[in-house]
Amino acid sequence: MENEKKMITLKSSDDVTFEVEEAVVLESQFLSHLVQDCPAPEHKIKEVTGKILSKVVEYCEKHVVVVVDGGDSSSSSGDDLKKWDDKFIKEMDLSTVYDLIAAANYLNIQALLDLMCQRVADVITACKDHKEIRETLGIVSDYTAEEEAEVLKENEWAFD
Amino acid sequence: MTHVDRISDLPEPLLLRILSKLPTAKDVVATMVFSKRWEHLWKSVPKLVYDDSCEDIIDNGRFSRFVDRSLILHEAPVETLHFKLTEKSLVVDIGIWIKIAVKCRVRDLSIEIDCSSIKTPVIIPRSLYKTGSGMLVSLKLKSVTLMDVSTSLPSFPTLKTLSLVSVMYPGDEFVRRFLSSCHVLEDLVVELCLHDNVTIFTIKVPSLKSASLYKPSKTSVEGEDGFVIDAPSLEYMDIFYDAVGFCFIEDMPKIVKADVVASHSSRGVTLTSFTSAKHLFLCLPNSKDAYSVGTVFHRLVHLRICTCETEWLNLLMRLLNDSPNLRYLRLEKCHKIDSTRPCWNEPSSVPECLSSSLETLEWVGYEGRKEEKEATTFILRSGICLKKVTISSTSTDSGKKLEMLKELSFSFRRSPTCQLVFD
Repeated sequence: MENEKKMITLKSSDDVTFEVEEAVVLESQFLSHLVQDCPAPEHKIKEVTGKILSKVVEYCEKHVVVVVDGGDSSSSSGDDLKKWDDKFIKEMDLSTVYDLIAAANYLNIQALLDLMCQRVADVITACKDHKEIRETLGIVSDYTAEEEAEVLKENEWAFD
Repeated sequence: MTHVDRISDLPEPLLLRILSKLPTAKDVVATMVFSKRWEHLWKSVPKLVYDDSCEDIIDNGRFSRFVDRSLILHEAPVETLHFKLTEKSLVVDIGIWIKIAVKCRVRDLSIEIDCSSIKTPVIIPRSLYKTGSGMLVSLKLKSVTLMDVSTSLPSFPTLKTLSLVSVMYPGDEFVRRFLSSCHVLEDLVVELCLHDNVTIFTIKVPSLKSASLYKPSKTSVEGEDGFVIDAPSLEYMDIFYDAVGFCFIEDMPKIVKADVVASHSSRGVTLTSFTSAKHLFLCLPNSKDAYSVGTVFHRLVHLRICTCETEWLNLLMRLLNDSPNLRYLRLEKCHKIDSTRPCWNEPSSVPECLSSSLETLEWVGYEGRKEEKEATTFILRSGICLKKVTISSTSTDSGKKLEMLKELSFSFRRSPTCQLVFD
């Protein structure tokens, strides 16, 4: 039985299908409940597109908890996983990051959500001022020039 | 085409989650100027980290004013409150900030002082002990002085994680009482320092699951100081003992993994309480006194031994004899200590684990010395279940490497399926 891995098919909003092992699905709290409650072989996830679901599947497949029997892989695989995570987020544009934040939140994959939020925070930290942050993150300011000056003046303690 | 502000469209809890990941409170507060959507978000961020290391040293008051104002204006509960302080003048403010932390019912409090920049001790006021009456789950203190309590005992009924690094204590009795008031404590980190005012550090915590303990070498040579550990639920233990003194450990029936490093043999750490461990990493100066005769490590499957002390080889041979189920063995030099080389003594019998369980030998930093060669060839010719032996050498001399490789490849292997790998 051990080698007999149960496979589950996930279907994105735009009908792209992914066949994954059950263990991969269990990384998502939402999907593990779904799979338990409804034992169908295929599950449609209307809220997530194929492009984003492929990223989610890629992440979960990498993060499936591998129990190594008596081996020493626990610490080194932790480092490897971190390297993999770094590469995974580095290659990603912010638009995909935002989609993945929404998807990880919906599917309830806390580690992926944290990873994506950290990526946005790192982008904010790397900018030199709020103007650069707005531009990089695509934030539309609805302050008038006067209002903005007022906020800065009122909260001078926060910016000096 | 109108530009869609995708990040600002995210629900507030997700934006707060992003803001919680910013390195300091300064970064969090500065987001108020992004747009009206962001103006008040910072006041709900549950995590604030105050770090004065990047501040201008000329004006200390500015940093204090920033902490005061942001804490006052903050609206939601602060779950995580961290202070990383370097400036002397802030020592006065810390008392007020801790009082605010008590009010906020902080769950995770950390106060780290950079002791290189502060010469006078940073005294943590007694109000700290009131944080425990709230919901404090994690407390981390570094380079601070704790005050004594004369009347009411400090009580931390919800504390699960505690880290005490280079802390000065009121005395032994305080430490004992403080730790035994933590009824649900699971993780403990203690790094003792010189002049910490503690002789015997008593850890009597039945709920403790993981402990990391460090004791530096002290100037006193009497060895009257040490640890007393009575924590029967411990699963993970990491102890670094660089001091003369004792370490009395009660039996730990649930221990799974332990790292034990000691640099003095006198009444140091003994392994007798570690017999339930599955994983052990050891660097010990003694082998005879390492544990009492008759001790068997029935559950030990994974053993790493550091080869920096002279006694490593004797310790290895003792442990091979007393660990009947060992499957994995790794030898490596982890510390920069140069000791005299040990001598190989051919064992009179083959240890049980070699004929029944040992599958893997990894030798990192193999130098091809006589005793190393003898130990390796002994394991190769006695290990019935060996599957893989990996030898990695630090030598850059390719001729020498080839010689070592030849010596080992031509030696007899008891296990026909054993693979010999050179790195």
